[in-house]
Amino acid sequence: MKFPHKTQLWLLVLVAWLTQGLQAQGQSFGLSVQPSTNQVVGTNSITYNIYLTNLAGYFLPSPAVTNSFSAQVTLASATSSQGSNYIASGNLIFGLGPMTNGGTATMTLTVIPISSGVLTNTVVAGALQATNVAGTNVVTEIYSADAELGIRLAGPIQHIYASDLTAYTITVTNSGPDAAPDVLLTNTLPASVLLISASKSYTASGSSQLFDLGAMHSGDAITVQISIQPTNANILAFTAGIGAPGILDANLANNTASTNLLISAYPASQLIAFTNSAQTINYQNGLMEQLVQVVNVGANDVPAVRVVVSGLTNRLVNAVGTNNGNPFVVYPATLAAGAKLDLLLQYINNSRTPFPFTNGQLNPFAVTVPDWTPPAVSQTSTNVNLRRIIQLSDKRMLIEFPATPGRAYTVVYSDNLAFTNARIAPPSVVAPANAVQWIDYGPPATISAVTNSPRRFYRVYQNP
Amino acid sequence: MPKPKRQFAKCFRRPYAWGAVCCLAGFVPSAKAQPGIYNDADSSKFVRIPSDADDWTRHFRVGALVGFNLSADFKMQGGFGISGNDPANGIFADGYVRTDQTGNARGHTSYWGYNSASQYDAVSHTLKMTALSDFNASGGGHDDKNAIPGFELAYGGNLWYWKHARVGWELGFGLLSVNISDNRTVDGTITQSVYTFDTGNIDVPGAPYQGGSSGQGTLISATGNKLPGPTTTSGTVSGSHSLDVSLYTIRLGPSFYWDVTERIGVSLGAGPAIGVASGKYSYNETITTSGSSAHSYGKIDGADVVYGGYVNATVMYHFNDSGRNADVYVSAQYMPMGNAGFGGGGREGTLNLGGQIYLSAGLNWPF
Repeated sequence: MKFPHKTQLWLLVLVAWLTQGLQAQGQSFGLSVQPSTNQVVGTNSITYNIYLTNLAGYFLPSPAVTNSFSAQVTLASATSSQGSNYIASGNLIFGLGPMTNGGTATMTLTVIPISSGVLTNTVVAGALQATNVAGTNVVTEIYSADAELGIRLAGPIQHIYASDLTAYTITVTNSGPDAAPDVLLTNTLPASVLLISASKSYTASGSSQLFDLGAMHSGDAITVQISIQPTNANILAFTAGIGAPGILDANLANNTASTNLLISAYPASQLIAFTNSAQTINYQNGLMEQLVQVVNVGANDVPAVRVVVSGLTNRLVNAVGTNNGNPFVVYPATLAAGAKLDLLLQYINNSRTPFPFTNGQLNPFAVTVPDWTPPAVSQTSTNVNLRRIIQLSDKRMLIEFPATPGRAYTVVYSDNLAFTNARIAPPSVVAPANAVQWIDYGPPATISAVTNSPRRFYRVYQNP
Repeated sequence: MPKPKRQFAKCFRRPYAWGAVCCLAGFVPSAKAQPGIYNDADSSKFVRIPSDADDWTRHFRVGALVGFNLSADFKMQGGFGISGNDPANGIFADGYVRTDQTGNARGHTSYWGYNSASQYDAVSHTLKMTALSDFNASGGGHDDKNAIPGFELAYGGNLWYWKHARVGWELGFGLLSVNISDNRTVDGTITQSVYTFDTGNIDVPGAPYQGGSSGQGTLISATGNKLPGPTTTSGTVSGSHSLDVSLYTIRLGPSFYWDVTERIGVSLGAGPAIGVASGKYSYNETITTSGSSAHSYGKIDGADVVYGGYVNATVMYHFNDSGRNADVYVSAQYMPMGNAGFGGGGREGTLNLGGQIYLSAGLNWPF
């Protein structure tokens, strides 16, 4: 059975409103309604226990209680302590029969909602002989699913400087028992941040991006990576929220997440950089190589050194990031005041010949020490057996390992076999062949030239 | 005499009924004993069966067939080209040296690979690549094949009878799918050209190595130095040579049938036969010299008509159920035929059919 709700509802509301004024003249009924719940998921039923007392002061021959619903429901059952019930004009009416003065009647009504949203049951008690009526509205939230959506933000590990290209990750989960339909992720960027790309398609809305993630089943997790470029040094607040229509989400606290990212300016330093060798082709790896030297001419040590190379038309292969579109390499250790440092830059140049390059393209900065701690061996199931480790005639170490062309691999090095203080040798290398010959040429890939290290151990794992 | 056999026979006049018969091969219907069928069973000589007689004068047979004593001879003789190698484009039997995405800038390429450590000469810093152009080989072998499955159909009729014996004719059809392979290795003389590529002072990646075309990775000289030659060297030709042939046989000849008991009958037949062998000779060869190898593969389609004869013997067991008759039969047949030849260009395969023996079993319906 279905309950329509249009004209009848307005009439009943009007009656209920009038009741408020009439009650001031003396109540005819005592009416209370106790719903079994005020939140329902899916097609679970709602039971209303209705209690009516005759307060008219005299016998009432035929009082009635009308239940009018704001949306269609299915009647499961209806019982009363006296009288009977019937449907009229889409309303369920309890016709209670004779009630003595002070007499009480109990009614129980169970319905099943059909659609999600707000369901209001307007209950009105009245009788022809009564001077007024009594009424109340019972509101129940109807949800389509019981889903527990959650969202997390994970910022970059490395310290960020203004105009760095960086990224953060948004992870959306559904840990509830039901699927959540039409999950919508809203990501909001603070001012002074350029959105470079996102790993999923989105619709822009001001400073926000709306990601339609579709349905998320129980246990699903979706990761979205947002690549950004902060333009100014600042503390920036990144926020994201998740939601889905018509779901019961018991924990709304984890439907939003935020994180603050510290965007720094380069600390003051007095570093100069200049080329220290000619460009030469390395036939061992097919790359153009050139040494540059960085000198700390200031009075203070710098914790680490970044050299941003501008004006390039060839790719800087051993860059670990970009700043304002310019690639940079990082020396991950202190450069003492007055000390100098050689860094090897590796380029791809399809002519395999030197290309024009000036010292003005080298921009050295002091930076904090990057965190290049590798995952533990036990955490990487893709560790690769090295085929050879040999020392080349120029004293560099060559590591050869089998590879799948096109897959990325990361080299880890340490000065002890337990790898207790291991570091990644960035960047990861994409295999150009079925074997990779990776060369430890010293900084910036590793913290020092092999000849300056008493021992060096290597391991390699394939990136996920 | 009631004639329930008519209904049985009629069904075979419809195309779908023939298909059903094939599906029912191996099914043994229950049936009553075959009734006495001729009017003059006590005649002292063979009596001509009237042409309009409708009592059990014909039969149809379908059954599974297994062929024995088939064999094939394979032979290679002469010179053969090797199509896989293309030294002009840097494709060799034991590696490649091709043009990378830089266009081999400065005469070097990352797009190279090699198979064996023996190709690298650490003293001269060169990598040897070998291109195999052709080979001469002579040899072959004989391979037997037994128990080749197939099926047969037969249709026949009776012309004369005498007591429990009948003389008639039978037309038979048989199909065998024959696959015989030879995997012998034969010696050969291979013509090859050897090229060397300068590796410079790099440390060559361990073999086998397959470099990519990106321009990154170990670089070697893109230009090879062709050594004097071509030269010939001894080697081997391995792999497989095979015949995949469908053998269709048709036979026609007189038959003699004798009801030994009420349930058991025996039939003998003999006559000429013709066969059509249609299929292909295929080869997948690996030509190997010391340190390098190349593949050569292909197929040669063909068909051949062969002639011969047959003699067979069949034992049948009669079933009869409410007038519906059927026999279960087993049969042995000797069908010598000529040999069928396939191949060309120095590769030949001969399917030897001179001693074919077929064993078959199935159902026979008299009507």
